[in-house]
Amino acid sequence: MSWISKIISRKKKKNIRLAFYGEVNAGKTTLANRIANDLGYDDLGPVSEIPHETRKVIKLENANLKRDGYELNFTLMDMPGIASTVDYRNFVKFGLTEAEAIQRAKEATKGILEAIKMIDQVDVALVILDSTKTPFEQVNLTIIGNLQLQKIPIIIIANKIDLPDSRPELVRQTFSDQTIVSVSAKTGDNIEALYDAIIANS
Amino acid sequence: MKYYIDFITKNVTNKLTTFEKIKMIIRLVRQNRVLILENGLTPEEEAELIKQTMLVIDFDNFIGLEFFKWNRGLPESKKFFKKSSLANESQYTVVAPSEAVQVIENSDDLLSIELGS
Repeated sequence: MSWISKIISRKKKKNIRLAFYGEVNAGKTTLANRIANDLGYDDLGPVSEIPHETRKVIKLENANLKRDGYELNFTLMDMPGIASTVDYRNFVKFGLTEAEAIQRAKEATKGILEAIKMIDQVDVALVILDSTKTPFEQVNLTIIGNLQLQKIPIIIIANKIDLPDSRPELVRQTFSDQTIVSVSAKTGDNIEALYDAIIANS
Repeated sequence: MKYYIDFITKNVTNKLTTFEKIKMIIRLVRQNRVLILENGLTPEEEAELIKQTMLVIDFDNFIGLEFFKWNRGLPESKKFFKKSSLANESQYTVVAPSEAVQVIENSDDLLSIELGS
């Protein structure tokens, strides 16, 4: 393919599947809502301090991102947070009844299964990390390892940079060979850099 | 609650298929065993471990497990790949019942876990 045809082909891209992966409460849905709002859509899903608020894959289909002459059509997929433990008693601490908590836990286990099974259906993955925590959280390493095996482009998001104990530099050190963008999904800080990275990696 | 620590050599795990390995791990963890696997799990095996764990969680007797891949003294440039990629040599995987472990420190050089009841 000549350089001219490469440029032309990048002007209008096919509909790619852009998936949000990460541990529980990393801010995936907050970021998905931020992007949806920036593109003129309503919130994709509710945000909560109770873990496993997102228990099914939520999709925003046929979204369109335009940047500097490039146009990207994509389906945004907000995945349930990945975990290897689901304890309904943690939900009771937030005021849910035991029955509500057990139901939430059952839905959470199904959501985790669904999210892992869908890894090979993704074109570009955004792995959202809570930059106030250690980047060595095992589920993050597992997700990234599997995405690498599938040769899926990865953008690592060091989220929550608005918080005082955020350490995005630690994320950069740990994943030094990856595309990394530090953002605050909550405040929108540095979100433009994320859009540039999405275009560059799609 | 008593917990036991089992060191499992690669001679054992290398003979097993992924499915057999994951089944063995979950069976032992449900028997309150903390496993130190000499031959660490691959990312695919880790994903399979999470999937199979989700299928057997029953909320009363088994709420899941925690696992950690760990190795010592990696040079800066190798950290990411050693932690997460295909390379599996000299890596250990620790698998434990969720309620048994609390991570005290998980850094480049030290994985410190408190075992409790």
